[in-house]
Amino acid sequence: MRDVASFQLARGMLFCANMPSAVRWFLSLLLLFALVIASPVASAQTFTVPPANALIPEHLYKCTETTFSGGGGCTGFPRSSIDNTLNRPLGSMNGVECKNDVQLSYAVSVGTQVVGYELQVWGTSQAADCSQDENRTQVGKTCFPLTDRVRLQDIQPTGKVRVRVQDVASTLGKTTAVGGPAYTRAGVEECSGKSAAVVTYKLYFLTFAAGATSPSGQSTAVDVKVDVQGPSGPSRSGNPGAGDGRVEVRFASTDAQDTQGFIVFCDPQPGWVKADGAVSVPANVTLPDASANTLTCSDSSVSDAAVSTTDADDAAAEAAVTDAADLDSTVFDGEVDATDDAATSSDAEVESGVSTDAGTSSDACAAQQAVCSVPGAGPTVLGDGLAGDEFSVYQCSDAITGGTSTTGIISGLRNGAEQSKTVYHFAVSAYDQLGNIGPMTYVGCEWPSEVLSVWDQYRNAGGQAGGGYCAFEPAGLGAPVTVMGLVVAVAFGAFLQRRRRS
Amino acid sequence: MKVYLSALLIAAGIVVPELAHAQRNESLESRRRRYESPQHFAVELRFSPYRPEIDKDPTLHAVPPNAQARDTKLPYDGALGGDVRHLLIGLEVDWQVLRIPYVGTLGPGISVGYVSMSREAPFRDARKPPYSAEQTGIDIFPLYALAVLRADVFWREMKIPIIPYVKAGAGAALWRMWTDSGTSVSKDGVVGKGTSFGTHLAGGVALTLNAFDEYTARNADTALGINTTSVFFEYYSSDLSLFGSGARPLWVGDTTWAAGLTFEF
Repeated sequence: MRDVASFQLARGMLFCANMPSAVRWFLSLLLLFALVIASPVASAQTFTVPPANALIPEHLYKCTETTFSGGGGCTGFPRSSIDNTLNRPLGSMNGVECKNDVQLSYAVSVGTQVVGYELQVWGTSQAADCSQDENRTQVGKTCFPLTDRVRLQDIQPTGKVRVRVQDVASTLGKTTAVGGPAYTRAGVEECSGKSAAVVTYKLYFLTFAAGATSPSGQSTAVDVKVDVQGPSGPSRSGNPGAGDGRVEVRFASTDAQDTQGFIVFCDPQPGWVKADGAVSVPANVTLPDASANTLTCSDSSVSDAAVSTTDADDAAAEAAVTDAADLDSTVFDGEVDATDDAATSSDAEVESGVSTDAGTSSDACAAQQAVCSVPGAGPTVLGDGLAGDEFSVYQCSDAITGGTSTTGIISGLRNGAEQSKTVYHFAVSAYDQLGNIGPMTYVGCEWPSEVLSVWDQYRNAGGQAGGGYCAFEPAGLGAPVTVMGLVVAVAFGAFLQRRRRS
Repeated sequence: MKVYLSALLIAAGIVVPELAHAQRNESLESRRRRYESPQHFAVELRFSPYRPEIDKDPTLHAVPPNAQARDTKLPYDGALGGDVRHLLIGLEVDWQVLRIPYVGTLGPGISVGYVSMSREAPFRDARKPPYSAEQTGIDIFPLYALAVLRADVFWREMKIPIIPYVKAGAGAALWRMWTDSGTSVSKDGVVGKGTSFGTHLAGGVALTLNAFDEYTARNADTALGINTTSVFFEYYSSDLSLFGSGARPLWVGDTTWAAGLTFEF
């Protein structure tokens, strides 16, 4: 574009000189040639950015270096199972990526003569045109720099520019207080307290001549979906229901509009429970710092108390156990067998009804016990308001898709008898279209045990039928479905045959 | 006596006007016959309240329906409730291969249906509440091969819009007992699925709707080849206790009624 503009400019000047046209054409071409040769701008400004949907997951990086180009110190950041379930748009940014300081890498192509020019990425959450000077420099605008100015010659070796999710998150919903904001590196605190709605964020890749305040040529913009906040948690809807090696978890769907589904958390994880009921956390599992939820409750004091969720949240937040390892042992010892003689201080707390944080966690205990009324249930690390994405090791369900779902089936649980049961605690979080997992809602506890099927009762009553030959299973298209299909086919065929004859 | 007289009067009320009507339109009727399309098949869409007769197996004895129950019940009654009938949906296709003059049609037919019933399964051990959140139930697919005689002489010759019929044949039912976790397996390893075989007898009457709207009926014949459309009511006995998978068959037959629509074409 600039080449063409220069050419027109040269022609205009020469027209004024009232020269013969052949001479004017020759001189204008000569001038144009001189401009192209003398300036590196033309090639330096020619860069392109692929559209956001051309990005692939490998372009999500965690980097140790703080520059915005180059590839040193960067490792790929894997997508979560929910991301894969959602088939999340590539190039979008969510809260997990924000908390992990992930960077999105964009491939740009720069020319060969790049000395003296710089690239800077600007962004806006409100569709302003950041290539316009006033949107970058005036007060009350929404364009913010997302990178330092990077020399094109530094970009040239890798052809990549990286944008930090935390920097993008820091600009959401903000307007400039002073003209011409400078780039400041945002922190993890920017990943919370944002709106839960998805924002179509616009990234502008601008080139500047070194020291210039206005872009000096082509700018390219790409759209990115940004949402770093998960949807609010569902509300409770009845106690979990036990079955044979399974529990049905019930909840009321959230009213958050971008909710795409739900996930369930189990404490303990089904796979951690041994045949004898003991709970053993695999060595390669890193438990989250669950100090926000220290429900080492007594069984007797507050079992019938009705305490609001808000009270529970407050109390849970107040209760503080600084050593997560201590908390873990408390939780699991208590859950495995609450009737055993207390061998540790934490067990003793459960048995004796004396909480370490007596007076601070009693409300939370009451809230939990109002929900979990199973006698002998131990405490749990799961609780209302805890960040679901920090407790992924407790996730025990696949994504329950659909924002209006109200139940989740957790199977693979270990059955127990009344005196030797493993009580499982359950919490549910909603997730949105960008894979953000919202805060938990503690929905209760239950212990699975064997059930009597119709078949059991028939056999117990002396029934001798069965064994399966010429039978059917619902999973495959069995004999009845085949026969029904044949009957329909016969009816349809007869009808067609009949029509043809008539 | 009063009942018989009432029935006779009702029948006369239907027959006499129809006969008079038939005589008045004799020439029209002969023309209709000339253009009526041939008829070889009948299809029935069937709906029936169904409760398998599992508990009628004399070898069964009553058991407690759950671990806390003091009374005992036969297994189907205890597990699923003995009084409740469930909707069976079926489809039957008859080939009217033979027309017997002044009687009706005779031919083979096949029928298939589906019915399912379930309820919360009780816990094996005593705990409160005694019933779990898991469902247990039975799926049954009854299949029949039948000979069907439809006496449509009343409708075709006398214009009385009723078609009595009888059916007789053999039946088989594929069944499966399940919980939400899948097909049930007993403690001794027997899988809760199989097939039961037996006999099937039925008798019913169809009220042909052609009598109420001849114009539409004629259009249906012209456009689709459907000769008659009828609603039917049928009483049937499906005795599926002759033999089956296992040492004894599961008695999944029933004696009940069915209703639905019949299309002859």
